[in-house]
Amino acid sequence: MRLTSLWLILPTGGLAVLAVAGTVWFWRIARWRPAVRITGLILVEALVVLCAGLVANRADNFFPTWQALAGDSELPPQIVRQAPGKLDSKLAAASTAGLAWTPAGYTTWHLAAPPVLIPPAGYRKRTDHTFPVIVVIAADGPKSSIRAAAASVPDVLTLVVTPGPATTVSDLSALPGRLAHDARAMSDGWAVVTDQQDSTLARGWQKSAPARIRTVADLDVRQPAVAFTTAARSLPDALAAPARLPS
Amino acid sequence: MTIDSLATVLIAVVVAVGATALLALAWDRRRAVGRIALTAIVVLAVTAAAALQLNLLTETYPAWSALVGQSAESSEAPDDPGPVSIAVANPQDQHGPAKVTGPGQLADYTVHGNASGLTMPMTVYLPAAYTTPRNRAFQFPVIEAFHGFPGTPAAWPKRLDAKRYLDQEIAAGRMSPTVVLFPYQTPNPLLDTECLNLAKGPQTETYLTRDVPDWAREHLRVRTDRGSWGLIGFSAGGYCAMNLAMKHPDRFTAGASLSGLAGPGIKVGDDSEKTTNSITWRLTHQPPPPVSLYLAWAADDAGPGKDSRQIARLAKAPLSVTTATMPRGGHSLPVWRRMEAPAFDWLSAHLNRAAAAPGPATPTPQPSPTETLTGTSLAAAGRH
Repeated sequence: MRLTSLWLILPTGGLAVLAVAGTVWFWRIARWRPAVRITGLILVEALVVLCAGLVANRADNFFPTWQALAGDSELPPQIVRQAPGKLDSKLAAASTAGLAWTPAGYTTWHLAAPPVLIPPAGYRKRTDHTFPVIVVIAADGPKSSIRAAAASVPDVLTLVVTPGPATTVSDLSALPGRLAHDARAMSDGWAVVTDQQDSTLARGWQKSAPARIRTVADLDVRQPAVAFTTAARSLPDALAAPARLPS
Repeated sequence: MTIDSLATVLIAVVVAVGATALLALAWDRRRAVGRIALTAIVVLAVTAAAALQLNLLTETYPAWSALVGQSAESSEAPDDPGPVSIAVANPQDQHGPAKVTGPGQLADYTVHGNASGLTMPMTVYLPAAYTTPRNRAFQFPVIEAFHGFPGTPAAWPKRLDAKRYLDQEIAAGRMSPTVVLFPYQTPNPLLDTECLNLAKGPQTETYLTRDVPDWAREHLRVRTDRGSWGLIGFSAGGYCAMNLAMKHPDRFTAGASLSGLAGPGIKVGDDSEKTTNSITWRLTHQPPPPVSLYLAWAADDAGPGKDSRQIARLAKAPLSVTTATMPRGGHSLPVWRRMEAPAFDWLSAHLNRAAAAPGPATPTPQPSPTETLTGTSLAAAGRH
């Protein structure tokens, strides 16, 4: 029987009335008067308080069931272990120059060159973590100075993309889904570093997915670290798989 | 003995039983006036015991002083920090703050609200990474946490064990080191404000969205951009978190509601409970704000479940909604205890990381909050 059921409240109220009547009835005629009076009064008090509590509980649904009242009816939050990325072993072995990323169908993204993935230091050891992503959208992306700047950003997976003339926002929108299979990349914590030439494309992508792409930072090839620092400030930390509710 | 301890409740029960026994035993030896007086004492004792148990659950009056009329508005925390000083950043700071795990600290401060005119105490959780001297060049993300009604911020550490959960999630790497603010939402324990500016009443929305953030930016090493600020709340506080995040997307980027409703359920005084302070009205009449919401509820908690499903159904980009449910549990503390760790984890994934302060360093002679914690730490005061 649920704690909010009228079939619990009404009998409790009825018992309270009976307890009052019984206590009054036996108040003067009971053989063990003190004991009967004390027991009767305490019974009345307990039933009245219980009845009031049940009515309030029914009104606001605080504890719908006995298990909820006991407080131990539910499973604790679940910690689901982070699934490894398909390229985790290759990324772990990759140098700061990164790893050419050629997932199936990447040629349909109309890029000028295959994208390059640069893992952060610690990617190999922290196998239970997902990492935020900085996407470099720039013609000069493959330059070693830019790759070095990317590798120096802590706890960020960097994806260097060199767009071609036909690359569209729609092409870029396919990146997160594919990357989630191949690396431990966060689904929402993304930022973009871009040059002037590709700024329109990068900002168009951000506009199409503002919850995912938190910022677009302008790249100065003479000081690439500045843009990476700016982008990283808008990203979350690399995090272990979150606790989740049972359902 | 504190007002919100189990021992106090048990003593109240014993007193009620004793008064009852006295009434039964002395009934025949007293005249009408004495009997009426004894009966009144019994009724008062039983009522007091029940009220103390309710207070134990809700923390509406976390101290005896609150019961005897010292309102949140008039109480002062013993020590308040001066303006924060931020250490000079050095090249190593680009690698992020030092990873430090361990117990964080709870501290009590007083927030003088210039914009709202409200002055109320606030409890602050500072993670271990915040208090280590090595990280003094870093500013941390922030979560404002709202309680239910009736209640006070004391419900978070005392009934929901928030400090333990925060320490646990940060140590496990599921949450970034984050400063968590536990402000009061009303100057009067029996006045439900729902975190709104009441017509002819306290301006709590202004207090919570302007005064509290301004105070934190001035006194704590916290990040100032909207992407680093999130909200969380349970019950009425869940509504607060959703409503304030949606109304102030320039200040907050995410909100987590644990069993919150879509409306305030009170009269604001300007009918805004039917319009701008109704979340479903906002979703159907105004452009969606660029914020993220996390809605959690127990499946057998009818009101919040219905409202949360409706909010999720009405949400459109750039507003994003994540939902999470428990199979059962009602509208209760055990449910929120189970919900809080996943909600904090979710929030952390939606907030910016700790980062070195931008621009030139601002060394000042005033002590930082870290240095003034000793006298105000709740642990030292016997709180947990």
